[in-house]
Amino acid sequence: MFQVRPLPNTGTAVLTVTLVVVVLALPMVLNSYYLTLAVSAALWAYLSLCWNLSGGYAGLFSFGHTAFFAAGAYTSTLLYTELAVSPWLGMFAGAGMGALLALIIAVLAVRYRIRGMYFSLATVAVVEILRPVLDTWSSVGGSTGILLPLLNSPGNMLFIKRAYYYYVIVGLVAVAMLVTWMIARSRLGYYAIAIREDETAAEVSGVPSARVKRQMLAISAALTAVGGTFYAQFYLFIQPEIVLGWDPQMQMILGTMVGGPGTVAGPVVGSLAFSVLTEVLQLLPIGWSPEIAAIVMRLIWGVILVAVMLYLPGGLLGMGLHARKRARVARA
Amino acid sequence: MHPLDIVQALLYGVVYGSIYALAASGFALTLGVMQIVNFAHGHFIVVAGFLSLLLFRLWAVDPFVSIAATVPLAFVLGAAIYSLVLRHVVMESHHTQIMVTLGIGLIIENVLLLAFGGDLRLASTGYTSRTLRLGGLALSVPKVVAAVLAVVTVALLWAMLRYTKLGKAIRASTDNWQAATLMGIDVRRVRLYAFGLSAVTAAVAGSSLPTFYLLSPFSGIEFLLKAFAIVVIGGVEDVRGVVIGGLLLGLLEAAAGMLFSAAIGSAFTFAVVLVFLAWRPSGLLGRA
Repeated sequence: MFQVRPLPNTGTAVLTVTLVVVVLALPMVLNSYYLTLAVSAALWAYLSLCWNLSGGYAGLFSFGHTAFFAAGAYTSTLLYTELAVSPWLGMFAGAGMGALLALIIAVLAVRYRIRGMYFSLATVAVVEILRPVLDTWSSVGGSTGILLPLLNSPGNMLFIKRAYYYYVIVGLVAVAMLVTWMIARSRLGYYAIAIREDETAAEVSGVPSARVKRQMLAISAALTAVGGTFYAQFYLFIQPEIVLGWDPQMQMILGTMVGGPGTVAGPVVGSLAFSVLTEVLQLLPIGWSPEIAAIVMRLIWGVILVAVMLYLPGGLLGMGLHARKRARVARA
Repeated sequence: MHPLDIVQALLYGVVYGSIYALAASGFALTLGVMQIVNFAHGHFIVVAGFLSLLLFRLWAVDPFVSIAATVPLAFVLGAAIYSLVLRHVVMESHHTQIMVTLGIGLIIENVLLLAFGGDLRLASTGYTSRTLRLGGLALSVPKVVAAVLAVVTVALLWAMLRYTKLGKAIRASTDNWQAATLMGIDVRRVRLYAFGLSAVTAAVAGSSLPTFYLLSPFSGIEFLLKAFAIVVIGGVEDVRGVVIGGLLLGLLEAAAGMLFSAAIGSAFTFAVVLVFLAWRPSGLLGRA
């Protein structure tokens, strides 16, 4: 379901430049409350982009990306609190840990032919094993978690001003989109899509599926781990229940699936829609508390998810109906 | 550790294992018959549990008695969800089905949250803390009742699949739905009934929980993962596989809980699931 994309024309170029200027100028307009929201929205957009590389492009429907997220958060945080290594460096160590974990998972999944929903279950199992282990491992904070200090230390990715966090995460979103765009146009990307559409057919056609799966999952995991480091530095608190929870995993998947799996901008659109709608619901003059608004939001999100999967399986940005028809024809 | 304590813990393993087997039987039924992965199956169980809790609070209906109400309701709701939504994704990929049923689960979970709040709930009946004494053993009455009920329900499901016309039609549709269609079986209706039945097993499991098991709207995912684990261990092709898987999971949890802590016990269970995924992907009874 891929096609050769034409080069961007003047219209899209102007639009892109405007968008970039607006995004970069936002901290000057927003107060600290909205800036915090913007950072969190951008973080979810970033994580959805990461998951998209594995679930959207390669068809590796992981439910265990929180394991990579936690690998990044814990590695950089422990390096910082125990050895005073700057999280700017720890971030790369975390990415390495995430990629290593992903490689182990990918190698075993290929070796034992764990595919489709069984791959999803296997990745859930990894998280369900890691969480109790971290919970009971007192030297890494146990179930109480780890606190980071509240101070202004740009060399250690700690800022008092929200605007700096905003620029870091917006930069990360840009990097993730660039990586996705480059992969989508590369041999690796085409191989990944071939595997997603029909793994057996791809293998028969000479696609080195084991290597492609390893690479896609490892890249996705490394980027996810960087998101974990950013999460720790921004919220200054990590805990197994949170970083290995079901919620962050769901947000990554929902943002991608609703926005458009296997597209560069889809995950961003989907997860931003989620954040914006949540906030709008709280602002509605119905007197909903933030908790009730969040519940109603998740309820609506469930409805949106079902509707998108039934009527627009390619997501808001995907060529949904086309892919759906193809799947029907292929199975008939 | 006293040997009687070990026997008692293992007996509870069997008790929980039977309930897990019932919880997984509906999940296995839809997966085997329709190739539908229902990620909302755990939520079906929780809905039934909360309905029983509601009936208990409003009119003091015993949760086990309320099964008479939740079962027909579950069949109707299951059939409705199937014909409104899942019917359209029967032929789609498992990924699509997972997303659709995750969406249904999200809807259920948040409706329950709005209606009941996020607290853990229990129905305290007159027999909630009563125990059955057997020699040196003490077994909680509601747990034993729930386990017996689970065994009976799973046995009925097995007999139904084996001996009734509908059961034969369901099995025929599992083996080869095209051939079944050619033999005059209305596969679409068989699927509808099978999905309704799956919801019924969820209702029996859910309604027998509130007397001893703390339920919250978030419990759905817990039961889903258990059901999935059991299906991996036992396979989907036979109810007997689900029973074996359920008992193994219950015993594993009990043993790991004794040897380590409950938390590490849960990690251990998932490690076993990983081993099964690698070693026996279609389950103990599945065709290799």
